[in-house]
Amino acid sequence: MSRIVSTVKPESDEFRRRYRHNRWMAQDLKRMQEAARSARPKRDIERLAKQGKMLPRERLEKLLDPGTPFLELSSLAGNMAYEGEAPSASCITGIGIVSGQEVMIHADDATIKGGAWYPLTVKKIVRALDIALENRLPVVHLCDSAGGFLQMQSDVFPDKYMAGRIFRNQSLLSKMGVKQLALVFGHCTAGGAYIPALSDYNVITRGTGAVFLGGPPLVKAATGEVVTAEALGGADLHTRTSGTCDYAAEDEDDAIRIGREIVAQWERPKKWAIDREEAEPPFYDPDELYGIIPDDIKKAYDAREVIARMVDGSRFHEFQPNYGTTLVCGYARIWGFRVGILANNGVLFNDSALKGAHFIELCNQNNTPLLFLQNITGYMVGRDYEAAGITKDGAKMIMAMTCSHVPKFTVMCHASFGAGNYGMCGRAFDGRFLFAWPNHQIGVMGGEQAANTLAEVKIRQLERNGEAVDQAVIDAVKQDTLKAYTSQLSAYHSTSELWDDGLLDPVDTRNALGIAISASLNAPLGAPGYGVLRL
Amino acid sequence: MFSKVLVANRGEIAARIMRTAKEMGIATVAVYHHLDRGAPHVRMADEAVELDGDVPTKAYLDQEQIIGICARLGAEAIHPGYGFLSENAEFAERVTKAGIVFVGPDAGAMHLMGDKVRSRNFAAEHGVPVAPSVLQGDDPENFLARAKAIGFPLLIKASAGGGGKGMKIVREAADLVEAVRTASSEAERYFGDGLVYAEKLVERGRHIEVQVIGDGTGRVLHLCERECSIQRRYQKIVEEAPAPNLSDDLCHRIRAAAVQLASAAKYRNAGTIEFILGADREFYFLEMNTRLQVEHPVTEMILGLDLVAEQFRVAAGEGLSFRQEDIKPSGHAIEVRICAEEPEKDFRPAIGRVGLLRLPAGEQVRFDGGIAEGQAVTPAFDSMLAKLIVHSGTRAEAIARMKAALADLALLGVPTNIDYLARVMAHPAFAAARIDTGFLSEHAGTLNPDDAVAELERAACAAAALAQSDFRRLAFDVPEPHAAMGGWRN
Amino acid sequence: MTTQLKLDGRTIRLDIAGRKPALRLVFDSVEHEVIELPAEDGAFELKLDGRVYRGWRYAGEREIYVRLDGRTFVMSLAEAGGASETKGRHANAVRSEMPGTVIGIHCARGDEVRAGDTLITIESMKLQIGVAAPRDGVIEDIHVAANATFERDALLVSFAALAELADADLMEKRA
Repeated sequence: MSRIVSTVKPESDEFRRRYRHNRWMAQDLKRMQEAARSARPKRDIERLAKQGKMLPRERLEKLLDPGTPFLELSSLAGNMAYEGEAPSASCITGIGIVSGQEVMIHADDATIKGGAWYPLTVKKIVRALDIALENRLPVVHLCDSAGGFLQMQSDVFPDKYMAGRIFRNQSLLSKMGVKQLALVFGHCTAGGAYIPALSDYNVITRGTGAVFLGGPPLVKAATGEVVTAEALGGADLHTRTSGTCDYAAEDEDDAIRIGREIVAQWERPKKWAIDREEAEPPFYDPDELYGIIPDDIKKAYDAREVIARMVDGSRFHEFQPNYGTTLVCGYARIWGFRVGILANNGVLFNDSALKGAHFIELCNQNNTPLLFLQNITGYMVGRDYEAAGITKDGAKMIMAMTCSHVPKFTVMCHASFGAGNYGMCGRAFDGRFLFAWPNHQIGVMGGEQAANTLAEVKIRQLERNGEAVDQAVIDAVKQDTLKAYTSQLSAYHSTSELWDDGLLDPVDTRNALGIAISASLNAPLGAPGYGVLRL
Repeated sequence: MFSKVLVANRGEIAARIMRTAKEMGIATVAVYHHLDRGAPHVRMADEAVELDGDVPTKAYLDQEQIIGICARLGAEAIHPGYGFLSENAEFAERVTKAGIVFVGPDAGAMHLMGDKVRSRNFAAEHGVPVAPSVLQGDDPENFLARAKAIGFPLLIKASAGGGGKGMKIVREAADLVEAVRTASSEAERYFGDGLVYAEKLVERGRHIEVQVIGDGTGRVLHLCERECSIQRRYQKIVEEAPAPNLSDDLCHRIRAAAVQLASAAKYRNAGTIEFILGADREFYFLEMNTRLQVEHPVTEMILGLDLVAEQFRVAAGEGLSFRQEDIKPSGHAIEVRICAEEPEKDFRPAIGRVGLLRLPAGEQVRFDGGIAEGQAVTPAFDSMLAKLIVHSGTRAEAIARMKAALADLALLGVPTNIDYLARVMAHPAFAAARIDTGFLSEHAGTLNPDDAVAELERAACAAAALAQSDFRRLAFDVPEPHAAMGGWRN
Repeated sequence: MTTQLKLDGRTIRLDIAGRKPALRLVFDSVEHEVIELPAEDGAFELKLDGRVYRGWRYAGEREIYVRLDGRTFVMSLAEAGGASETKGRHANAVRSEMPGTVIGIHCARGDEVRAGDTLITIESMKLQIGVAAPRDGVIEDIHVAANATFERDALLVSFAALAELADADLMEKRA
């Protein structure tokens, strides 16, 4: 495979300007993540220490094999919600190595409202378990949650994708033979109690760990019975009498030690035999991505320059290099795994849509996972293109992508507007993982387009009603729309809503994808087949 | 010569005796307790019989069983080794009465030398110097006053004792009463006899002993002396021959005294007469051991003979293979006792398992061991596991050879004194032969382990970690690409 | 997770920083590269930061012995333990797992016992079963008498606060 020849000029003004901009953006991301992870009121941290409890991240680090990576998912989930009350949506999820096993980890964060589940907490846990289901990843739950946040029960409890979904997913995981372990560090109350109960294995920490449907206050209110947490659902009760828990641990360290030993007993899943070679770092420094990614959402970049800083040896076998050039397609390797990459290099035309659908079929035939690198402002619009069938060509691409039996991965590299988001495996299309860069924007259209479109609509409305077109009113419409869009389009907003699996510093993309691809291999490939393609 | 002998012992000495027996074409019978079923002495023997008994040490002391096995299997002689029944006059007598040869002195000599007081009196009667002393038994009423009259410091010892049990040092008159009381109660506990005696304490003395052997006709030869001053808990851990820095005259006088005593006792077979040699070059008789000594190999090395073979010859009535004038020591030999113990914790005995045993190779390096890999080290038996003996032209060369041999010796699975012995060998005072029985306590500070070089310690830690299957899994069982990514976080 | 080794009463923290191209271990926050070289059974040969170390090693029940450069290092893994080790570590009470009759009592109040020592023999369902000490300790009390019958989960023996077996006792046994 030949190496991509880069034409990037690191000494240029443009490169340096973009570099500064994107470095700042990446640092800002790190700052926000750092705050979401560790900025907590001192009294909350002290309270945990007094109880002999570790912070969730301390538990996590002790659980993981030393010197191994951890791919944290949606670290900024919930960040723009609840007035910042629930950083990281009050929990940690991610993929790591425990006793040599690739596992999904879900850890409650008792430093925030006793680990109570906000609506987005539930969404994040459900998403983590969806990932576990789709990729057959064993799960380790680090439980320390008071249960649903009662003040928001209507957004936590009743609907299909709310808390019940956690337990539904747990049950299905177990049925599929995907193992789950729960380490109970704190109180697991109400719904929270089902997490250890539905895990195949669980460990409860003596003294601090407790599992009950109703905690002591609820029991007292309901029946008048006065009982301590330890007697109601402590380690001794559950490991000696009720059998709800399997192992009693002396302390949190002991619980983690026992948990690691349990995971060590699990059979190693047989992954499907993807074509894999010895990994090779990219020839071009991924750090140069900062100088390539534009500092303006309207500006384009050459997708090959991004691919060159993500794939092994910067080698790329490009498919149909001279046809449908606004969609770059081709084979490359990431951490040794062969992938088929589809990267936008402009608006999708008929030919680029057809090329994309063709290449997706080839990857399915070749058992090669698909990687979509989105930078898309949409499918081309206009009479000529409609006449040429741009809509049905786009539909073919969507059909081929949706029906793929190989795992799909998406990175939101820059713009993600309009139907292009669908064709390029947006959130709705069950990609195994979807990551986004902090510069990315997502929406049905860009802010300026929306402002102009709405202004146009307003003018038409005024004209229809015979009213005078007041430029001030039009400007106000434009300004309001732009403002609303800017905040809603931002990557921080999307990630807060869990429209992705987390924001990535662009230089981290290669590792995140390596872990994601590796995880995806645990699930067997489905049967290939497509619906009706409108030819 | 005998065609079959029973070795009534265990461990290194049983194996050592069998080695000679094999060389002499004598078949061997081992007796063993269940705990020792896999021990080398059991495997080496032509026949091995398990002794009944719950308490392991008691099994090896079971005279009736042992004599019965001997008779049943037709062994003509019993070699008792050291310890256990080796100095039991009653046993020697019973063996003889059963028509079996006891490889050792006759019961009379054992009886005579077995009691400290009796043997001291005998020595004094025959012109062998003994330290001024008074016996409690002679006049219990005035014992304290008589003891005081000897002058301080005094040593209070059990009349029936040995091995440091019931021994107390008294430096001031004020402490005498208490010392006598505790010594007596210890003596009562260990030996069933609370009688003690007081003796002038020779401070900074050297423990010098003379190996003798009686040919059975009443003639007694000396086989030079040994220096055994390096002791902990009154037990030797380093022995050498010949004794360094002894003038010819002193050496001659000590050897002569030993021969005189053994001759007077009409001593037969191998025995050892122990003396304490003061800084004033005066020496006193301590006791006679009527058996083969642990440290006999150093004598063998400098004389080039096999003491066990000579013991068999004398016992079989064949006499010795040499004459006194043939005894010409050559070079210097050192022995160290490898014990399962923790020198840094006051030589506390340790238990464990002989997990790995690698012996030093080389000329003039001898390892007398009775242990095999896999063998448990239990509190049931003595903590001595083996002896390492070297021989060379000079004392300095012997020390160098011992240091190298100790460095090459690996006995892992139970804490041992190997490193401690290496530090003794490396000590300047030992090199200068400035030794006496207080050596180990005087130099305790400089005999402590120095801090390991940090990088050596790291290598040891890495080796230890990598010996653990859990750690190996942790290090090598991480899948790709995760292993190559290291501790990456996003 | 951090591996902890105990050496001469000190705790040495050992982390793994990386595995490729060679294993990198962290001692006291400094990374060192370790390469294992082939060695015969019981021996080891390591290259640590480029320097070769040869020695012998043996992993015992709890301790790991390393013989290196004429020195013996006795280490224990502080991490040792895990699921099976936890059972009964805390227990002060020994309870019967089934109903039965006491047919033998092998300990007395105040006895020092070691984990695994048989304390009581019971007979239940025509089976004689030895009830073992769950840990080292001192017997506080025996709550059943010979020939007494008891129910499932009955308290048989209680332990006093955990006490180390004194060194003196080992010495005593040796003597």
